[in-house]
Amino acid sequence: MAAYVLKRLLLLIPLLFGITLLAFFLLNALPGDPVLSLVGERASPEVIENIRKEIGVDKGFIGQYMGYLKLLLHGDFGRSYYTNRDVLKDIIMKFPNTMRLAFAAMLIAVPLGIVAGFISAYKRDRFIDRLINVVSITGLSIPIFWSAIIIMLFLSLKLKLFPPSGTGDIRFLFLPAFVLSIPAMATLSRVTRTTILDILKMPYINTARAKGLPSIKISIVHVLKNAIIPIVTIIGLDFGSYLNGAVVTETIFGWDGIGRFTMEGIMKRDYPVIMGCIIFGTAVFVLVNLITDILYHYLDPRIRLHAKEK
Amino acid sequence: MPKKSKISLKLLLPVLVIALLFAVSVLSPLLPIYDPDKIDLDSIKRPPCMDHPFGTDSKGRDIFARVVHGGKVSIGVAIVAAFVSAFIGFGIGIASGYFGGRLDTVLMSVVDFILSFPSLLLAIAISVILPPGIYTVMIAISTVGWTSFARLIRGHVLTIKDMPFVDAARAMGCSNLRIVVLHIAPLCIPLSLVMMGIKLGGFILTEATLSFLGLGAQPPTPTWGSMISANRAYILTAPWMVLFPGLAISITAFCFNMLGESLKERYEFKDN
Repeated sequence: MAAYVLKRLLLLIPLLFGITLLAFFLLNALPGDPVLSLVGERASPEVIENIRKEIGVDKGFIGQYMGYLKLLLHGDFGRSYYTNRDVLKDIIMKFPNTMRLAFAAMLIAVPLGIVAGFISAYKRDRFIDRLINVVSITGLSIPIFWSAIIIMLFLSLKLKLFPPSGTGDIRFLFLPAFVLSIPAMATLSRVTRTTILDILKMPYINTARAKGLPSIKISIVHVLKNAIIPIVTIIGLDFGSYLNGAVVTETIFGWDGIGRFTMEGIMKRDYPVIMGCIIFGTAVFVLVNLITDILYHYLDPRIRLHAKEK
Repeated sequence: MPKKSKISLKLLLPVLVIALLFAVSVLSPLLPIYDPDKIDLDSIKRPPCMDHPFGTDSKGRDIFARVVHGGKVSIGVAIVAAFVSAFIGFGIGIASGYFGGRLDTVLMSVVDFILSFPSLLLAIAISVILPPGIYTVMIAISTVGWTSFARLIRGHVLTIKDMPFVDAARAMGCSNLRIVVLHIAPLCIPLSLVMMGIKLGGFILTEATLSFLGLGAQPPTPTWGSMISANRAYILTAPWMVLFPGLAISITAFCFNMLGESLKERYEFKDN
C-alpha cells in the first residue's frame, strides 16, 4: 500500500515537470524580459537583480529553466502583476473557499444523482426513466455560465431569495453550489443507471432473489455495493476538477476561490497568477485521483492496487 | 461493431435538427436577415418584436442575425476540432495498436499525461499561450480531445490485427504500410465517426466556454459564448440578449448529446 502510494506520488514529478515546462515556455513566449514578467514591473531593482541571478539569465534555456524550477521548489510562484501579492499565499488563502463550494456541490449532486440513477434503472424504459434521461441530457447540454446567469436572474434579482454574489455563509453558497452540481448530477445519474442495469443481469442477483431476500436488501447489499466503484470514479473526477476552481461559476457568483482567481489572471493576462493556478490545480487534481484510487481498494478488496498499474 | 439496419427516430431526429441548424448558419450570409455587425443606435435594447424576433443588443445589432451567424463559428469550430481530434487519435491509435512495444508505451504515456490534467484547465492554458481566435480554440479542444479517439482506436486495432485476413495479407508479402492503410485503417473509420458523434456535444460546450472567457473568436465576430459574456451586464434590463444565445448553445448541445446517446446505444458503447 505505502509502496503504491509512493510510486504514484513519484509519478507526479514528471507531470509537474511537464506543466512547469509549459509554464516556462509561456513566460518565454511573452515579449520582454522573463524576469520582469515573473516579478512584475513594480518590483524593486534589488529583487529583480536577485532573481536574475537566481534564474541565471546568462545560462541559456536549460539553465534558466533549472533556475525557475529552483524558485518554484522554494515555494516562490512569483507575484501578481497587479496586486504585487505573493501568488502562492493568495492561492492557499482562497483554496478553503473553493473547497467549501466543491463539497457543497457534491453534497447536492451525489444523493440526487444516485437516487435518480436508481429510479431510472429500476423503472427501465418506463416514462420516469425516459424523463430522467432527457433531464440529465439537458443538464449536460446547458452551459454552466448561462444557467448560472439565468438562475441568478430569477432567484436573486427577481425573487430576491438569495444574494446574487459574494462569498460568505450558506445563503451565498447555495446558488453556486447548485449550479455547479447540475452536470455532476446528470453524469452520476447516467452512470449509476448503466452500472445498475449491468449488475441486475448478474447471476448473484438471481441467486439473491431465489433465496427470497427482500428486494430492498438486494438493492442495498448486492446492487449498490457493487455499483459503488464507477460512482466513486465519477465523483472523484468531478470533485477534482471543482477543486482546481469552478472557473466560470466562481466568477459569475463572485465566489472568492481559486477559479475566480484563475479567471481574473486570464482576463488581466496576469501570467504568474495563471501559472500558479495551473500548477496548483494540476497537483490537486492528480492527488484527488490518487485518493480515489486508494478508496477503490477499501471499497472493493478485489481491486489490488499494485495490479492496477497495468 | 454490430450491424443494425433500422435507423431509429431517436438517431434521425437529432441529425435532422443539427443539419438544419448547420445549414441555416452556413447559409446565413445569403439569408434575408440583418447584418450581424450593423450598429443601429436608433434601436438599441429593443425587446423581441416582429422586426427583431430576438430583440437587439446594446449597440442596436439584431440578436437573431448574430445568433444565426454565431452558429457558423460555434458549430464550425466544434466540428473542425472533432475532425482534427479524430484524425490525430486515428493515426496515433493505429500506430500504437499495430506496432505495439515501446512505441505503444510512449504514445499511451502521452495519452495518460494529457488525461491527468483537468481538461478545461488545459484548454484554457493553451488558449492563453496562443493568440486568441478560432484556430486557438480548435487547437485547444483537439489537444485535449484526441486522447479518447486514440484509446478507442488502439483497442480496436488490437482486436483486429491478429485476425486471419491480416495474417493472409502478411503471408502474401504485404508491407506493414499496405496492411495498415488498406486492411486496418478502413475498419477503424466507422468507429471514429461514431466517437465524433459522441464527443461533439462536449466540444460545443467547450467552445462556448472558451468564447465566454474571451479566449475564442474576437469581436466583432459573433459567437454564442461571447454574446453572453458581452451582454451579461444587461441581464436585468434586457434579458433576451443573454437568453437567446444560451438557448442556441443548449439546443445545439442537446441535439449533439442526443445523437451521441443514440450512437452509444446503437453500437453498445460503455460510458467513459
